[in-house]
Amino acid sequence: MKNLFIICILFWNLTGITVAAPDKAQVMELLEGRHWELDVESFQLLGEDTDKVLIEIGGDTSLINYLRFRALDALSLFPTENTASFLELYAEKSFAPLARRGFKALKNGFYKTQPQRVKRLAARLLKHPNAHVRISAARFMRSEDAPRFKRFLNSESDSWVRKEAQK
Amino acid sequence: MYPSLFLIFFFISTALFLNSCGRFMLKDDGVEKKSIEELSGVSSVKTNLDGLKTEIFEITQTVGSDGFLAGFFVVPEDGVSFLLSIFLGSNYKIKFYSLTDPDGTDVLSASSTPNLYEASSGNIGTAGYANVLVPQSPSFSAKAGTWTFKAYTNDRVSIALRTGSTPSAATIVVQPYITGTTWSAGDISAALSVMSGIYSANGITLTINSTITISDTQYSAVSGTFTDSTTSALVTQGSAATVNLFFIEDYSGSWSGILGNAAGIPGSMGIANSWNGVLISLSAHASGATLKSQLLGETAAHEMGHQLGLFHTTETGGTVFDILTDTAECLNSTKDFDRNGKMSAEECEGYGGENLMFWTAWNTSSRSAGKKQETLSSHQQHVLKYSPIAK
Repeated sequence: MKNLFIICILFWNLTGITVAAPDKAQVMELLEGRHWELDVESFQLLGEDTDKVLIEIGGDTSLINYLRFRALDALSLFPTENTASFLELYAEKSFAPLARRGFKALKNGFYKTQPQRVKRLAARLLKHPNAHVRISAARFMRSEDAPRFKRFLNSESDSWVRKEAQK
Repeated sequence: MYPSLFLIFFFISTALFLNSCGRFMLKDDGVEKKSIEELSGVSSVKTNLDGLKTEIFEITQTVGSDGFLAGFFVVPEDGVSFLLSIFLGSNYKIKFYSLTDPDGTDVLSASSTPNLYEASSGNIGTAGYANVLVPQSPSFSAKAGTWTFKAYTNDRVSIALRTGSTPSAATIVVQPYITGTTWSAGDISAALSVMSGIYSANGITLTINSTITISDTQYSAVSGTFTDSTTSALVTQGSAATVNLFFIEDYSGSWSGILGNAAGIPGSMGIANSWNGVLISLSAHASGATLKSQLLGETAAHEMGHQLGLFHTTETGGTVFDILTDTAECLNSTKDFDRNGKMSAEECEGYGGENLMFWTAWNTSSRSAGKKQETLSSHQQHVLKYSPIAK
């Protein structure tokens, strides 16, 4: 009985190790680098709760932006409801570089499972005050909703924005 | 009266004739006395770069029986360096087939020693533009005499040829630009000082021009692809005789995770075109409303190093290294302590992690602890001092 109890404790601990959220430093290490690319395999090895750490990093205004930008990119690999809400919030309410990345991550992470959600966000971003955010949304809309894209082109006042949206 | 006039006319005509004959009969003055135009297979297009002993020529090419376009140029006795550039519109991949020095060595061939095989964009081939820099390491020199090349179908080939005395130091003029409206010239001055300090400590003086602001919104976020029409339109605004640093507000599209990138290794020099500069993201280097000057200065210095012909000393995986023999190599087999297949600056401390051209920066905690990447090896300095854009 005693041995069984020890085995159970040991098994519980091991299980705990494999599913525990990675620590922040571990995630940060994967976000470092001058010429960075999203390392899908390494992030997926970190475990399911990685989204919580990435959301913490993405929302940490004291951090240098490249870490926050990359955290948003990496969130596309963890398509939870928390992730979607966070990305929508940042796409609509944050400064333009973060907003574009928020939309991009939502598109990459949720288009297959929740295309209408991505489309609704894109529609709202077509009216964003920042031209580059509008362009990101319009490029997505071009393939998703041609009539809406056409209406955007007709209403967009900046000719260079119309040109970029059609690239 | 008429006989006297005839005699005068006769004497003048004879003098002019003899003078002309004398010119034709003069002994050959040798390579060192001739102009570069006389010596090279160049067209009439020629540009002198302000303040530099570097001239830009377009080289006339002929179609050979093997189907390649061929051309030649002559490096004079006081030749220091050259950048041979090849262009192809519509941004198809372009490259040289061969580049043969005056001793008959094809420096792009894998069987030559030394060679730039797979080390030069002019050999590998890139979209729209490629080049060969000599010297890209101290193993090469711009030997005096006739160089010949063969090239695949292209629009034009040009050369930036630097002449003068052997350089023991160098001055390079840098032109910074800022795009967007979030930051102004004052915000990057500390980073430019960091960059200037790095180069100065390595024997290169930077003359940094006043920052030019490009406020058109379309340039505030651009792609890192230099053939992209918007990026091209931005970089083409760069000055011909300077190294152009474009501090963009942000990257667009798939370049969202990048701190900076250069137009090539090296990029273009001496000609205003799409590859005549580097991009550095300002928003990526910001924390709140403040730019991190040390890292921004290191990124600008790093990308400028690429633009002038320096490779990463050690690449990401620790299995590929630059062509220089005096830069530290950080081997995957002995230094990848965490076995993640990526060599961090921390793992490579003492093995090139401190070098400006190491593939990645120190991580955030190391930078907070004061770690910097500011060193260049003697050979790296050699490449910069001999640069066609230096004086």
